[in-house]
Amino acid sequence: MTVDAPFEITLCAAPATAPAAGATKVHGAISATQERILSPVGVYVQHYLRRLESNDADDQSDHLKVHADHTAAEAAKAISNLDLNEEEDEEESEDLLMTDPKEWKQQDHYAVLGLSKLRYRATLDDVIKSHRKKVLRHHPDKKAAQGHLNDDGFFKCIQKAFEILSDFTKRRQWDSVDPAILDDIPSGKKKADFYEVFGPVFAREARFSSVQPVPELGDESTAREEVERFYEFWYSFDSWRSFEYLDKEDATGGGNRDDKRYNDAKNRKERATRKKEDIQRLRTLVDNALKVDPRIARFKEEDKLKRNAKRNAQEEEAKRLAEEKKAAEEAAKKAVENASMMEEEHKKARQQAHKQLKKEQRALKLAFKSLNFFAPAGATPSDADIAVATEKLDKITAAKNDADALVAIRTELEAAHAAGNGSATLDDIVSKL
Amino acid sequence: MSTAAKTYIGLSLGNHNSVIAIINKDHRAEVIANEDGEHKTPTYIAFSGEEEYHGSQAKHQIVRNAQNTVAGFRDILGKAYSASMAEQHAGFAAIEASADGSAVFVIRAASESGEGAELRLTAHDATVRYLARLRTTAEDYLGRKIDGAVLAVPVWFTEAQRTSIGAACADAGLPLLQLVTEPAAAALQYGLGRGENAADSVALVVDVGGTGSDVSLVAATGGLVSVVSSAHTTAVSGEVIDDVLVRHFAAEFTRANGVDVMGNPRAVRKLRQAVEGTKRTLSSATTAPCAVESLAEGIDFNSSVNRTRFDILCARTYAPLLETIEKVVADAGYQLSQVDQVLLCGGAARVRRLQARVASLFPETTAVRDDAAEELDEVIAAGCAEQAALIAQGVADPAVAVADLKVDVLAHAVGLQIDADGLALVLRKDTPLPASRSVRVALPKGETRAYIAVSEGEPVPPKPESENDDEEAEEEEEVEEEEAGPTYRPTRLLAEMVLELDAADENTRVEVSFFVGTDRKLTVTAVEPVSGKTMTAVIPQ
Repeated sequence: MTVDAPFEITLCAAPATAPAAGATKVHGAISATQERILSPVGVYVQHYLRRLESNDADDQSDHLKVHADHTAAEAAKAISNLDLNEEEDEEESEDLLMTDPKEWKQQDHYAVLGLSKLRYRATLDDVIKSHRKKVLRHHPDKKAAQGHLNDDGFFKCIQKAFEILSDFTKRRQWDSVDPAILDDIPSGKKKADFYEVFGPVFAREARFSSVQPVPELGDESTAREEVERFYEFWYSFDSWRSFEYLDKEDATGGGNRDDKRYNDAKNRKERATRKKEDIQRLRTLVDNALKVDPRIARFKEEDKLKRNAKRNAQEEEAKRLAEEKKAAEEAAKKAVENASMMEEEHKKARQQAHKQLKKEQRALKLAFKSLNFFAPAGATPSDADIAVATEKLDKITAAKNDADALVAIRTELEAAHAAGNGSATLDDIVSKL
Repeated sequence: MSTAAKTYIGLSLGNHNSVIAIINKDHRAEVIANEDGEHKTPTYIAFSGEEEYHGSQAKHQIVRNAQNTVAGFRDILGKAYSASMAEQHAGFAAIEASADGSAVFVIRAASESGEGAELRLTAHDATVRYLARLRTTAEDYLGRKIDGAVLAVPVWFTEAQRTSIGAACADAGLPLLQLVTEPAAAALQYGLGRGENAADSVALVVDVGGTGSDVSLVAATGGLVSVVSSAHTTAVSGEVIDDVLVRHFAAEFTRANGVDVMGNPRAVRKLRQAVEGTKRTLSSATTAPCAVESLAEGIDFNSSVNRTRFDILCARTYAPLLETIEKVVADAGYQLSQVDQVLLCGGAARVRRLQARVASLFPETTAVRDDAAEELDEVIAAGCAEQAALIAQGVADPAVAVADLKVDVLAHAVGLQIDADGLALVLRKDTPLPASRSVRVALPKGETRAYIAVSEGEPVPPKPESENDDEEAEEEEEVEEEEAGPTYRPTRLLAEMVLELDAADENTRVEVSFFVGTDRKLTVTAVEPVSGKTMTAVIPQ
């Protein structure tokens, strides 16, 4: 909210000492503050206190902002009144001029004073001014001067209208039943032009509020809190509307006491019924508006989404957990499988190695045999030689449980045998074990 | 609304007269008439025999039963006994020191049952009895129980006095919702800071009461009201004006009949009561009668005085009030020309001549207002009723409001420099922190750079009249001044910044917003809404 200065501010041209464009230069801080006692009266103290707590530059409840809003609203109202009043002097129709002052209850007091456009918006000042104007035009003395003697019917109407409109209580009673302002309320069916239909109706009903200013319906972009405040306000609407104006007068005028009492009781009952109906009517209006307000629908949708989002999130979380669990289980299973497979392979490998070893042992044994048990060349190995060689072979096979080593030993022995020093090599190998 | 059923009243407990008001169904302040049909109830209690009288009935007893009449107890409440106190109340019920040092009224009512029965009544007891009576009056009038009251007390009431009033209210079965100061209540009733008077303004509340006058300078910023400075004087009051009239009529009587009046306390009291009515009549009529049956030595007195005569007689009595006004305005650091309106309240402020004298202190642009209530002595009570209604509506919260709020306010006005010695006001002096305001400014012709210089400032003192010899020039200047309002001049430059715009014409506006936090840090933000160019300067504490 911007407060327009009372007069237009035009900045001065930058002096030579000014900082460069886009630069700021700070010269000094604000002088020390003074302590003052704030008188806690009026409407705006609450806003200020709330603001004091938050100390936030963008706080919308700032008392200065609220105050400026109220002021601007009132100024706008005053200007619109001025605009309406600009069309000076409403025309006085023939019918209006012929109004019977005896039928004052039926006359339109605003029309009589030429305020039929402003109606309830007319200020006391407007009433006084227009009354003065009308009196000048319709005073019986003036009529008499024009030759219309005893033509004071409309003047009486003017006086009656002024009597009612200048009296706070009487005017409210009249405003309550002003026939020129409809009491209809839009139905609770969905409408595309919700704001155009309901806005003016709420603005119209706001005139009965004891608490002013009344929150407005707003539009699509109105913040959620505002909308909620609006409905809260209208559900606890404090109306000054009353129906005394429609009271039936005692037909006989004077009447006796019993008649008067009977009439009073009847009128009171009537008033209470009307008031009740009016409260019901307003209630229906707010109900209808709430029902078809696109914002409320949107908020509900948002709420639903939010709720759903929460639920969805929960579900997803559960799903995710389940999946994780499943994956973990599978992994465990796989690991177990892997392990068994490894075991198998291992076993196989070991068996293979064992087989190989056995084969090599056999091959070595055969080699021993083919190498004549390392007996001297050409000689048939004796039993003793065989026993010694076999013993050595056993030693080797006992020491070496590796197929490759056995192969190496075998080739070495075969090579040595061919070179003629097999026995020595064998001894050498055995001694090395 | 759950609070709608509560009945809260506004109460102005004066040293002289008290007024009860309520906001009625039509949202208007309505003064509750007492059993005698009067809008204000004299703050008196009298004892005679077994009977206890309040209000007018008690006041009438001053003539023949003064020693058993208790008056002026509001100002004694919460104070220790002193000799001057007894002196001030000479002529009424005797005041003695009690065991605990507080003042006690001693009433030796001539009781039928026993001679010398003595009633010792502390100021607290007297206030409780009186308030309880007021409560009954209001309840009888409204036909409902009273759920609470907003009470106004003078600014100069000490904490002890305020506490005592609260205790008295509680004992009188009148739950105290909030204690407000009298100028605050008056400002509220005059609508300061609301509606037509919404603009920030400085008002002077001149309250001329029965026993003394209070002058308070009240600043309203953003609808918040704070009392900047205040002074109390007993040199101007309804009683002082009565004294003048009493002396006048006494002299007249003596001249006519050769009988001394001033030496006869009873005659003086009789005359004083009659004179009150005369004074009141003079506020509406140009001539007022004064008649006392058997004033002294069985001789009746019948005379009249016209307003001119009255004004001449009282001319001197107003001077102390004018001095007080000047002092209060100076104390607050303002000039008389800066006071936007003068709000009158208190019964004696009805005196036409006094109003004119007060108005003559200020320039013509200052409105002297007396339109807040039907009668000036009802303004404060009506203001209290207004606050009570706000509490009932839930707009004001009494819980936070019971204690007066100490807040930090700006010591100097802050604004934008518009030329070498001109300042456009943005934040007024005495604005409570935190505060934010924004203004829309135009650029000088042909410039694309907005030079924003933030300064502290003070109002330009009025030019001495002798400088304006040329009448035409003076007239021109007056017109200018009216257009520009009170002009300010910069005293201390706080910060400068330059916002460069790509293009600018006469319709280009830059929005400059100010924010002062409670830490005295000033943030100035300049925004050009069309291009969205923004710049911020932070002026640390």
